[in-house]
Amino acid sequence: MKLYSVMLFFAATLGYFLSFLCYLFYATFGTKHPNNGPVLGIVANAAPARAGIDWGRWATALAWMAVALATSGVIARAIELGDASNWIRRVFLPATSTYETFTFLAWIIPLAYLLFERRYQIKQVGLFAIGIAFILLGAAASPVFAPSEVRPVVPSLDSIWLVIHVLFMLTGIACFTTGFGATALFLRQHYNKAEKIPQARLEELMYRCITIGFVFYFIGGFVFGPIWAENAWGRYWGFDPKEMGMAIAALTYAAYLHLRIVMGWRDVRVAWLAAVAYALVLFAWLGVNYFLGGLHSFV
Amino acid sequence: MIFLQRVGSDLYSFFTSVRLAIVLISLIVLISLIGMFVPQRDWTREVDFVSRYGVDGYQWLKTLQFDHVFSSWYFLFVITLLTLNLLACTHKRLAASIRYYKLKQRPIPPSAIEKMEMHRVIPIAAANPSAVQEKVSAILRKHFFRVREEAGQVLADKWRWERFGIDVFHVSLLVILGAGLLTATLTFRTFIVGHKGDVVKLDKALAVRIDDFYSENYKNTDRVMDWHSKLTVLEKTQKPESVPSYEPTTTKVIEVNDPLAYKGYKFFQAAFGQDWMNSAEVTLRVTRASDGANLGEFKAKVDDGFEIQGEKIFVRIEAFLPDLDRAPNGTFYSRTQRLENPAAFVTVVDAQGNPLYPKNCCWAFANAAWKEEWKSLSAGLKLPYEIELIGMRAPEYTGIQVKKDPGQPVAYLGFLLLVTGISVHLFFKHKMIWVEVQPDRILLAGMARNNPRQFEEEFVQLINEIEKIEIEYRVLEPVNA
Ligand code: HEM
Repeated sequence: MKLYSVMLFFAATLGYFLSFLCYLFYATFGTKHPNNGPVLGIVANAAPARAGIDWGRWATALAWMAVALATSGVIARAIELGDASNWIRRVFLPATSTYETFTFLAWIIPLAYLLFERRYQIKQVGLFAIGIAFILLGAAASPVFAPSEVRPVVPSLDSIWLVIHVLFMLTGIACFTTGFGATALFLRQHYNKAEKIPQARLEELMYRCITIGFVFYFIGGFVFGPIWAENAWGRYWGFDPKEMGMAIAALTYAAYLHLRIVMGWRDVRVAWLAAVAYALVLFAWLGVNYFLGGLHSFV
Repeated sequence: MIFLQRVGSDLYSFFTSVRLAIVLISLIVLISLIGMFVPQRDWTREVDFVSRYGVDGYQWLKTLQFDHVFSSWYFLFVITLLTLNLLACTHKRLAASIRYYKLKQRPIPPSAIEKMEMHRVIPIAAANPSAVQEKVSAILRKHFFRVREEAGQVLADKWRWERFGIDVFHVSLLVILGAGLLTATLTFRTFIVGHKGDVVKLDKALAVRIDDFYSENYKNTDRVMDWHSKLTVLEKTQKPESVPSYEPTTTKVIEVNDPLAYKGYKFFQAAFGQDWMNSAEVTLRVTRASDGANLGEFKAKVDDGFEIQGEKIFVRIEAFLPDLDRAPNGTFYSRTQRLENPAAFVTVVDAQGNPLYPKNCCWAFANAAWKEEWKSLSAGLKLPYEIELIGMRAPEYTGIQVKKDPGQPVAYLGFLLLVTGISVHLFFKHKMIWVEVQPDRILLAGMARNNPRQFEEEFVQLINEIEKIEIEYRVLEPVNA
């Protein structure tokens, strides 16, 4: 069977790769110029014109193009999944298998990053976000690890609450990923004692990503998840490993937010906490399925 | 009295501390980590614990309550502390939020406006500054600011109530914890292994009847699309003159993710399959051990048996396990509900009812490897008959989870508050603007609570609009040299 989504994602893979190279050139050659504040012109002034190739602009443009390709890939996959599932009741979020989850994230992570980039213009983080998208698509291309075969959804996945739940969780993960890019850069600059980008700006980007990610992740995990579980299994919360993984990650981010907002911490200590929280998100998402199992491990 | 007040205020400051919140959150994370890595007894059998941790290790787990951390005394204790912590915090912060809400925006001296992070000076030459001021106010109103004038300054703000967002969010956590408590203590729950026509009484007035159930596959595949059960709720008639009887009130075909709700009860499609454990019917072949004579094949249900006339014995099927396995301590159990390694546990008695077989005997297997193993295991017992499992059937059943949960409306209220509160916190920030129009310039400054950046775009937009105001120019007086 020919799957259009697979081809679209191949094209997107190429796009991310080229964009990644541009981000890399930007990070290596393009930082002699001061990194500008927000484009809005109140806090900082406009960028001085740069001689030679503006790698940053190329990187962003290519990334948007690849995201457009991935968008059509996700839509195509949703249609393919709907076809395979006899269009029972409604359109599905194409996130019902490893392949779909990876490709979906390879769409939404760069998208979230690019939206943050518009406001914060810290393109070094793009190296990380676009790199991740490339790796995800690379992994999704492996027929062993992530077969792209379309399987109709199992009964418990046929629910609008599940669609909302997964959409919120993955959006949260996408925001956290950009946030982690900022965290990593923050920590690196701290230990290298090299401050190419003002640490305060990185810290702010990290905080914004985490707040927005937190809202999605928390609502997705503590509201829509339970509503779905109640409809499907007759219980809101079962303390199963997947649920606890999510709760642990969310609570760690909550601790981060309180330390930052209420206690005013903005240094490496909270950056490390944010990094740990991100690791926990990854564990809750992937680790639990592979190491612990439980009711939730479909993907 | 004074002593009690001291204790009270100490407690209050202890429980309003964010440090405590961080400590408690960390503890919850730690305990949850244990609960995530150690299997919990709700879904793990003893035999699995023992095979994983050994007898001693399992004993330790039980002592430390690691096998049920989420109902352990220390977890409940930490949750209780967090609840008190949240209550105290919310009380304190709510008071602060109310003060904040009542606080009036005050004029700022022009020199201070120019020192603010987000400000702009627009040079003008206005003949009539107050007309300009009117126009500025109009622009601000168009952007939904509440505009007021004091001491010649325009003071404008919007979304002042936004500060309550995070309070609502914290309250929602309390509401959800409360709902959880109600659910945990008051939920009535039962699982129906239903066959066609079964009527199950739920309480004095309600019963449910299983009219039908079926499984539906995706077209041209053997993949299950959904399981359905047609249920009818029966309710006792209220009419005093008639003999009380159950009358059907509502009928619905439920499926996974689409339960039936009636008078607080909810019916979920929770399982579907063959009811091996309770209603299997097995076929056994019995051979006399002494001469190897085949005595025939016999059918019987679990909890029933059959007579073999010529031998004057009665064979009873005590149990049927669809997927038998043996734990390290020697007990047998069924790993799954699927027909992977079926086995029947049988006993044989003579005409007087005396057992012919020793205790804990005997198993009849279908799987060749297990048959062999059983033969070698039982070789020493000198059993008079050899019994093999050669066929089995079980009726299909539909698994209906029934629940009556008084916590449900509370949980939904909590969810609603949670989403509202945190959305307000994310999307709205209290914004304030100060404008002073002087004959030769407009001074303006803006501020958003906690997050100046969230205001930048709108501020720039406002400045653009203000710069476009048509100003009636003041005729400048010639400068004399
Ligand atoms: C599991 C429990 C809790 C969660 C998930 C939680 C979550 C949050 C979130 C998401 C914020 C917003 C942070 C931001 O602006 O980015 C916040 C703020 C805050 N929380 Fe909590 N919280 C919890 C418990 C507590 C407790 C127990 C206290 C009291 C000690 C507390 C006190 C505060 C305060 C004072 C703020 C400041 C908000 C502001 O000024 O903007 N929280 N909390």
